[in-house]
Amino acid sequence: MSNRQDNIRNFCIVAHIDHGKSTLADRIMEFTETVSKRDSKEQLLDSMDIERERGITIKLTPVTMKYHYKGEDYFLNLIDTPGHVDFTYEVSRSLAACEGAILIVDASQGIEAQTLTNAYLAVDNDLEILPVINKIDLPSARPDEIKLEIEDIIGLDTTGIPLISAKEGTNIEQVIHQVIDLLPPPSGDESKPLKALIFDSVYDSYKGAISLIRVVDGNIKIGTKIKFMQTDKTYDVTEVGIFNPKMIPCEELKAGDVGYVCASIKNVADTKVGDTITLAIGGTTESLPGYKEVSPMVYSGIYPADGARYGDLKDALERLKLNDASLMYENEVSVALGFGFRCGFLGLLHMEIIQERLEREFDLDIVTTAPSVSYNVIKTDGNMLVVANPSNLPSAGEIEYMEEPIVKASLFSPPEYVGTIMDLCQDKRGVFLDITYLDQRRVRIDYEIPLNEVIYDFFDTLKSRTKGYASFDYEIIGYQRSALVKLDLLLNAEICDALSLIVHRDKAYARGRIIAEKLKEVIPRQMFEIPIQASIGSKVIARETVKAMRKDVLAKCYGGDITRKKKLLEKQKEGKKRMRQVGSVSVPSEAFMTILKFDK
Amino acid sequence: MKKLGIYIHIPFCESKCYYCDFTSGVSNNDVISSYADAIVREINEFDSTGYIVDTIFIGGGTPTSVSSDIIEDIVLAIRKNFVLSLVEFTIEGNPNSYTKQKLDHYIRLGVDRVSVGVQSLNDKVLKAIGRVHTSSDAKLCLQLLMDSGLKVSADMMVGLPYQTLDIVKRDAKMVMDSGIGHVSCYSLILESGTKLASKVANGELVLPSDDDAVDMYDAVMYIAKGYGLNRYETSNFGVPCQHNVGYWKLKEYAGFGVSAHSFNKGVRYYNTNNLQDYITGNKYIIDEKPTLAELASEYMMLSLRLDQGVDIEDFKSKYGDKSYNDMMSIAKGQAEYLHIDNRFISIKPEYSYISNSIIEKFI
Repeated sequence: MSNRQDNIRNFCIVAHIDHGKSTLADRIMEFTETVSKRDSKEQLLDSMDIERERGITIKLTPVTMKYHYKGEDYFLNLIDTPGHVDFTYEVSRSLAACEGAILIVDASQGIEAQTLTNAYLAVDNDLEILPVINKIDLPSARPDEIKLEIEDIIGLDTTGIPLISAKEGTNIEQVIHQVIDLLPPPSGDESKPLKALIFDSVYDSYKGAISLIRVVDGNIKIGTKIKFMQTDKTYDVTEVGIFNPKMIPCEELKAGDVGYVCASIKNVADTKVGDTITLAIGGTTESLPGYKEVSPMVYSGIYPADGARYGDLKDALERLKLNDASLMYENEVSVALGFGFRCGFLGLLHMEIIQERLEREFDLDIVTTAPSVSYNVIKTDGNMLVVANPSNLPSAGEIEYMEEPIVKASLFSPPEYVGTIMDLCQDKRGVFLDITYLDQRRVRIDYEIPLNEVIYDFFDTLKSRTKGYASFDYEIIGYQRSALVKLDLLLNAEICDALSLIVHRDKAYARGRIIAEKLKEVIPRQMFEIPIQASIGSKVIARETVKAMRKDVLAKCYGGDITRKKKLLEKQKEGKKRMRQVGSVSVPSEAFMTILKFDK
Repeated sequence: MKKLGIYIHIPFCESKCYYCDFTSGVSNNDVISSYADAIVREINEFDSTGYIVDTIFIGGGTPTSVSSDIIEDIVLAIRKNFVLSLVEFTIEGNPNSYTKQKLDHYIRLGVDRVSVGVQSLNDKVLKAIGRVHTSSDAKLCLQLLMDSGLKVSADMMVGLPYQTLDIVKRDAKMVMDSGIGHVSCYSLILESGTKLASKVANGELVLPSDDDAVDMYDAVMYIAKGYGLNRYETSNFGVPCQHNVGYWKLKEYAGFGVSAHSFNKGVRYYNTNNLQDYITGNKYIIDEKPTLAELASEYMMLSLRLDQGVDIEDFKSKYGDKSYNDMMSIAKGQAEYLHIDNRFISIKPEYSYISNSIIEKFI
């Protein structure tokens, strides 16, 4: 009898956004009869509404599929991966759970920024890569040219490459056969002590935090006493199982298997992605490589629009955190916005997702402050301070200098937008690194750009200026000393802390002016004139004025309808209550959001 | 005996003005006469024990658009069911429906004050807001009313489409040149669902800005003062209308007719605003029985519209020391906008057009 691991394939699908990853996953599941076509909602693996709406996958959901081929039963474990730059670490752990990867390239768009990022990640994890060209049903498909791109740019052999249409189900069988024929089986040792990689975790209100694992060596079953090597905590296993794609309990998971483990773990933060599970007694001492503490890259203040709902916001964040260990938050108090939270996110998309989930799933109206990155502040006394909230910046006199995070950005675009893209990068304080003409249709441009510039409107501006043709990816490469200043906004001579920003000195004037202009539009006229000032320290760099209101009378009370009049007044008063008080000035919640948008 | 004001609502018009969102419209004579019957019935059902009526106001709609015989039926019902000691009896109407005959009839019924909706003396403006009369109708009407020897009031509006500061000034002077004793000046409020609102929404008409509307209002106020018509309430100038002053001073009143509001015997209530329902036997709807504290805040809301303001002693005697102390502490917080002396609290004239922001603090 052959080694059982020979009949297992652990693989993932990687692709640029919209190149059809989730659709291919669905087709493979249908083809292997893991799900019937009838049950198949579009894109089964994407479990959150937001993901489905945006056509992007964030949460990883593995699935075990049984497939009969050449007289043998094979178990194909498909591990889905998020396609977005915010989740690079999670992607890398998912890849580490696999022996191979299907790399999808769109037959008309060709190689994009994340095609390459993901291909490199797969190579870094020693994965066998199986390229496929998708969307060959499109009239604009140009598979021959794309083959050349794959060979030239990524360096993969394209002989026998499947030309598929995931949408129409064309050549899916060929892909499955290649997975079995070309990808290597796992090669762990069942007799060694347990060693399993956590590549994700989910929260279940009955079972607690559930670890999604790839068993590398040994085995795990109910009753096994396990230890999480990073947290050094031990648990008794209460259930193991596989995904089909729903959770199906099974007797045990052995070397080479992919599945889940429940062990009455209260908190997903205790089941860290990248951690190694071993035996509590007699376990391995050597954890699997690649573990990293995830740290937030982007921060923003989140406050309830109605201060009375602080408790609801707190509960909502706790609930989200149950399932999302990478979400960080801590209490924060703003003079303008009251009680709220400073939240840390992996990136901009992650931030948007959290904000949207708070609003949709928890029915909260929230006010978010401008996103910030974390700065290293080197003080004159030699101490270093990490500041993610502009309000916490020490006074200018105490600061020797500051450092900001820098990213290496790779942009892919048709050649006609090169000038536009370089203008944009230059405008965002970018430093040019390299430009490569990949073929007649694609150029790769590399820049170093401060993250602080990327998080404002870089992505939206890039998309709009290149009509959506350019793609973009980045990685943090370190911190750099920079001439940063704190830009304050004053309303009626009082600083509004929730509007403060840390910006580069050269950008401060333009940004101060734009924000002051926008605030003038959104702050309603009040009983007195309101000066709006942008300042750096005590120096005012921009000024606008909201003129005093002159008229708010209601009509006479016709026929003595006093109740109506009273109700109108009460409504007006209620409306004002919902606004925030900055000193004597009432500021509507949307004012705090205006500084998030910088379209010129 | 307690004083009572009576309001009669006549919901009929020759056509509906574009800005109007009241219960009013065009109807035929049968409907009008059965409506009058319904009002007479409602008057007869009112328990008038203990009340003495000192003001009557017949408003609308356009009371002058119906036959004066209809008005007579209603007035006779009032006279039959109530004890009257009138200090003022007003009827309001449109420039093109006042006639010499009607006026004579009104006078025989006891009317001593007539109000006319002039709104503007500019034909382009009048047409834009759907008025059925022209500026010359209005001038002739003013002459007719002045000649009758009655007390005369004219309604004007600012903030209308095509209005400019110059047009408003000219209109105001022409109205006041007639020797009129009272003017009301309202700033247009665009009510949703009105024809004007949709014309503004689709860009067919443009309204002056709020700032311009306030300039127009200020001009009317300034001109009125020159004619001896001093402002006594946010929108009213000249010899005060006793009926309306009754509302502002929380006097009891009984409203008869569709959608009419009443406040008497400690209860606020109002009639249905569906004309057919009213005719076939309206049941009024109880709105609320205001508590003393609610009455105190309503007293503030209403009195602060008066230039004279809140009579401090009157307030204290009606609502007690606690309400008085609460009110005074709110007033002190708003001192910047108020004139406070030993007898009265009033909104400083320069803030009267943003009075809501001040008044809301008291409710």
